[in-house]
Amino acid sequence: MIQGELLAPAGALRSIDALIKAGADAIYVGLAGFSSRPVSSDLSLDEIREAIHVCHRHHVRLHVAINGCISNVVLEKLCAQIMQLDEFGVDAIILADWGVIYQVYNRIHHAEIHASTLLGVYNSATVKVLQQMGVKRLVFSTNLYLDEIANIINEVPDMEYEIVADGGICFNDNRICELPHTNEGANYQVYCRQPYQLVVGDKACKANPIAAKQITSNHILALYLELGIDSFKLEGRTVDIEKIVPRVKSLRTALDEAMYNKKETESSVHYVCTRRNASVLQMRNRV
Amino acid sequence: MKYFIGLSCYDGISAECLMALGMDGVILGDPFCQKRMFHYGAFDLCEKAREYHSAGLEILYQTGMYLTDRRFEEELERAAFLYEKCNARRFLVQDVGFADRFAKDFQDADLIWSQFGRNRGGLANSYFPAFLSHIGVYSIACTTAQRVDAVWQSNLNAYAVYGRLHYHTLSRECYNRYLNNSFDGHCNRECLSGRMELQHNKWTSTVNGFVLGQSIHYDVSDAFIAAMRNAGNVLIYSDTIEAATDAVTGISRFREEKK
Repeated sequence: MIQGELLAPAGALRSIDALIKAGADAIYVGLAGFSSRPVSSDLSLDEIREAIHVCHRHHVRLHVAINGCISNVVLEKLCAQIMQLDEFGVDAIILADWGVIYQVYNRIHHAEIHASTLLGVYNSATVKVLQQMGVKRLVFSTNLYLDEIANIINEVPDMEYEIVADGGICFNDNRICELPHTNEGANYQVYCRQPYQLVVGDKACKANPIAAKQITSNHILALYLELGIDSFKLEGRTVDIEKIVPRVKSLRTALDEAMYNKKETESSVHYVCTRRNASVLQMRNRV
Repeated sequence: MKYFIGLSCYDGISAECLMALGMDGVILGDPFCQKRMFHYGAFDLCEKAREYHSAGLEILYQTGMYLTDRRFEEELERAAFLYEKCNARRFLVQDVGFADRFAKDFQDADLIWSQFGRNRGGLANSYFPAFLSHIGVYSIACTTAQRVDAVWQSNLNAYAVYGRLHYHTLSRECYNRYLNNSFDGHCNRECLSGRMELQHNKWTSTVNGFVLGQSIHYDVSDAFIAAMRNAGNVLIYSDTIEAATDAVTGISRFREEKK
């Protein structure tokens, strides 16, 4: 893996070329039926095999996300497909289920295991448990603060770390949320995005939005690099490739600037670490 | 079979009140904020634990969520204190790293995977209980009859949760502070006032400190009552002692049958 990896999303096989041209170092796709996105934005096993060839021809890595809810009914089928992906030569499998990681970690020979942000890892003790199960990389929870990230990296430096650098954010807990997400007729209703009234006693006013806007971390990438973040992910497997490519290019530019403009890096780190602005230390990693 | 009561707030609650409910033990420790459960926060927690333990109640400690490295050792120390000084042997855990560490140090403790424990899909498949056993967790708190069955099939112990804490979204950030930021350092435990709601034309949610929730939900279906019979122990949650009395009365017939 290269330092400062840009990890871009592909919701279709035909998107891979465009993402490589836009500057992606690695690309991730969903395994059909086992990712947390609609099947329409997943790739089949055959498509993933083709994607691996395309990516590796350009020295780009391919990761496969298996982050949906896995029921007993499909467990054996999933494990068989993970073994197939490993044989195909996929570079990494992103897993979000502790049980699945525990079952497959010593049966995979080639692919790395990456721990999804959906596992909700908050401390270095948990990272060490992952490490004992052969996990190579942790995707940080999106509600960790900068100093908490720094502490985990400091405690377990021999692990790779990834953040979601560009994407959506929930006020709630990494999509472990029980607010209704329902299909009402033709409309997909996500209740955290609805307007709410805050009612206090007999008074009512407009409440702050529960769901935050899409964010980017481009302006503090230098800081993340200094903290020891290895990979920077864009979200958006369900987003049109025409909208993803500009974001990939923007992140590429920002990453290159952060990696090669040392002065800017030192300035960012100095600003935070000297506590000139205590609030920065409290900043959420995706805000 | 043992019964444990967990209240949202323990201000002014004596051991006698809890014992009058016929409880074997008490669940102490708020998953989000000790200030919400105890007037003097974590200090009060330890005082209450000593008081209830002295009166003969078993202490079941509910560890916190979001155990970042800032809070991790403190939480371990508190759990160890309750183990040593209050003879606590049951701990609701929600963090893999915490469970792994604590199970190694206190091998006779019964670690119970909490309803808030994080895993994609909850107990959707049989691999997860196997993983829990691997890290030393042999019990699971179950909010549905299906989960009780699944846990038994995994050869782990089931704790039936009567009065599921029905939170709809979770966050590390206190919602009162997020929305109002009006406490100027002291929250005054506004979350306990029960005055605040978020209303949408189809959805209403209470604003309860760290979480947007609704009232505690009691599953009185025949299937869940049957599941409670099968479970080894029952965790009863309630907002107040009065509501706890009603909840206990609600399952008294089942308890009599069990005897």
